Amino acid sequence: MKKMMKRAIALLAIAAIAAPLASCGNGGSQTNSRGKVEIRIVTNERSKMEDLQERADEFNETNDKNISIVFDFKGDNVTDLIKTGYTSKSAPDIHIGMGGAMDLIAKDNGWYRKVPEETVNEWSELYGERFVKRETDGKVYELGTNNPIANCSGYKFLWNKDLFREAGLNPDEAPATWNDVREYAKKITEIGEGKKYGYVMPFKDAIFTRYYIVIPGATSGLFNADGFDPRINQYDYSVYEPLIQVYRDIIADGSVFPSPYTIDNDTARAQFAEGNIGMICAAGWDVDVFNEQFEVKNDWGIGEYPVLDEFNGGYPYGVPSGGSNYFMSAMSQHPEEQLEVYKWLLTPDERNNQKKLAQKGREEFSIYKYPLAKMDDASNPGAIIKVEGDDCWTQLKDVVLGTGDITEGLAKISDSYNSAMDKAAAAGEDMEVYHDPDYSFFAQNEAELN
Amino acid sequence: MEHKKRRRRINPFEFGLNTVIYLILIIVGIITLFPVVYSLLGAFKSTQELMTSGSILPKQYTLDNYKYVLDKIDFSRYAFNSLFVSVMAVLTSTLMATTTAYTFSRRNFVGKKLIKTMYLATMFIGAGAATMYPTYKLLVDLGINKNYLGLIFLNCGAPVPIILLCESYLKGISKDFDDAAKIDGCSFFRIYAQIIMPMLMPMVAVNALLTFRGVWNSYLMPMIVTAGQPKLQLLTVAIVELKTGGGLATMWSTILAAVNISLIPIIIVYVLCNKQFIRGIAEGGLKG
Repeated sequence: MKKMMKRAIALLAIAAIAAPLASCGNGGSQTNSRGKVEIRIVTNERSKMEDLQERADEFNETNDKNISIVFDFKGDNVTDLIKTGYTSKSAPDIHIGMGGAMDLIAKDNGWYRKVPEETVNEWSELYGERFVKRETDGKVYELGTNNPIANCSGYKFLWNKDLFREAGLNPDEAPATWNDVREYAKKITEIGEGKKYGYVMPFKDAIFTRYYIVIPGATSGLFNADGFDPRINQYDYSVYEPLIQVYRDIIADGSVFPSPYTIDNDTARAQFAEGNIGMICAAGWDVDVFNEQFEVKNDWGIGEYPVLDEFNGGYPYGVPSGGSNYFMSAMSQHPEEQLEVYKWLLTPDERNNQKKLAQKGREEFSIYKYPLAKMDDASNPGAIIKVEGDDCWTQLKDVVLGTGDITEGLAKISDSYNSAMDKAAAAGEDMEVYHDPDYSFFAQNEAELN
Repeated sequence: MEHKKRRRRINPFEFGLNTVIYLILIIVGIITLFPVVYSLLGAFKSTQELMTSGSILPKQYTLDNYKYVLDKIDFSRYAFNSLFVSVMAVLTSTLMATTTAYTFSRRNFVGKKLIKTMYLATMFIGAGAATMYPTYKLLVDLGINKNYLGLIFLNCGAPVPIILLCESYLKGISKDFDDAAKIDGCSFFRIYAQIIMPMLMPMVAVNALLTFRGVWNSYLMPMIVTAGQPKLQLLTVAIVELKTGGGLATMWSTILAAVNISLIPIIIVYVLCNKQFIRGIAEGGLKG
């Protein structure tokens, strides 16, 4: 016993002495044991983890500015972590964005560092048209390049060619319209004998209504900045009614994989890979999943989103997801090194691009044949309004999967958001800043593609 | 002889009651064990199979998930972190719990009742998440938010129920031991260290098991404290972070493999402390 007590006390003493030695300052950056300035980057981009870590190791070995990059790859909790970091003055030097609303609050609070003007100019000269400059109140907080491969590209429509063949459909062509999707889904479900289904709606996480309704809607000209129309300075969800009607019809036909309320996107992707789903909406990162995580047991095709019947004869708009979504903390103790690493992080990695392009589907996801629709959530007042009750995604999910009147359901969503806007205006917020009668939903390369 | 040979008559009511009791126990047993069996078997499946197959048994057994966990996520470092912090927390909390209980049971001092009431109050008033930010701020202000000390500091406090158990146990130990030691020239602390502590071993085992389990499984505060300090992460934080963001699918089979490995230390601690633990709980409740 005596021996045990002595050992315990000795261990405690060692810990008490050794632990503070490892402590240096409270900010994000610190100096490591080799005298290098450590710049901490927190991100949830695990899909790029190995590439980023490999590049960082190379940078740490070769840079002559005495900088060492420490990546911290986080999961779904990244926003809470970064927020806690800022409120306790120990934020990382560079981090992934916290999401539209939180990023705006962070800018207002002075948490984010503005990108110096000379860096903006340097970037603009270097990347020309590919340069993405996102401004808030005339200030640039985020640099980026419109690099479809590095930035996960845009959104497309995938289909199972084997199931198309079995159902007597042309395996080489995606359905052109949403009514085609309904017909194809019906045929696939019929030959699926209760095991295979034509379409999937993974709405367990309500946010996926954005990827299945709002973004596909944009390809049919159902333009809206996540429900907001800057031209009239109001929310208007009624634009999505025709697409929601098709979804309701697909559900009524029994052609959707069971059960939309409880199935999540991971299950949807796994079932598609297994060959049990005929058609699925996808983003660029899904290609990584099908190339690197799940073994796709069927021949699959990639195409543009279908369009609504009334839009047929026009062309679908491409929907990119550009920008970098990385920010610098204004609390960093080593701003010079921080900026250096920020530029390094956002420089398009051509080596990685080539590697990605060699994977199935990547090339298709990086090419836009049509004008690009802008899905820019910074152009709506979502960050400053407080909506009572469920958010728009949950309400949209209820409208799609419910049985009530679609028009009324969508009007209810618009009303809840517009009344939140009114309250914000009554509280002194200037809502006119979101009003832009000439707002264009097209991205910068419309003219180029036309 | 005939009497001996005669079978015991079965009481239908007793039989029915026993059947119902056994049925309930079997159902409870299945419900309790199912997640463990699911986790053990699920780790041998690919995530794709786990998410698409209805069967609990793998179609094709694979060790890839265990290989991934051991090769790719620096498992040994995170396991060491968890082990080190848990052991240190056990030592510090044991010291705190036993000294506090010893003082409460053997000394009278001004404000004793008030302090005890405040201790008790923490059992009934749970501030929960409201304490997270102030606690983290305290670590930042003390400059220990970026090292092991912060993680140990979070868990060094003695659990109030353990203090009460120890105090109750100590009240059952005659003060004659203390008096005899005093006559032999022992100081208050030496009596604690050489006379009282050995007698408190069942309580120490209770605290060791509960604290070790608590710290080993803790997630929220270690996650906040180790944000941006990946080398300090505890195993739970590293496992949960396998649940990826950024568009990739969550690799559930890999998570299950990591969880299965992380169960091993807690099982070892339980096996080592089991007897003392049960004795401690029983005697702590009876004495005093």
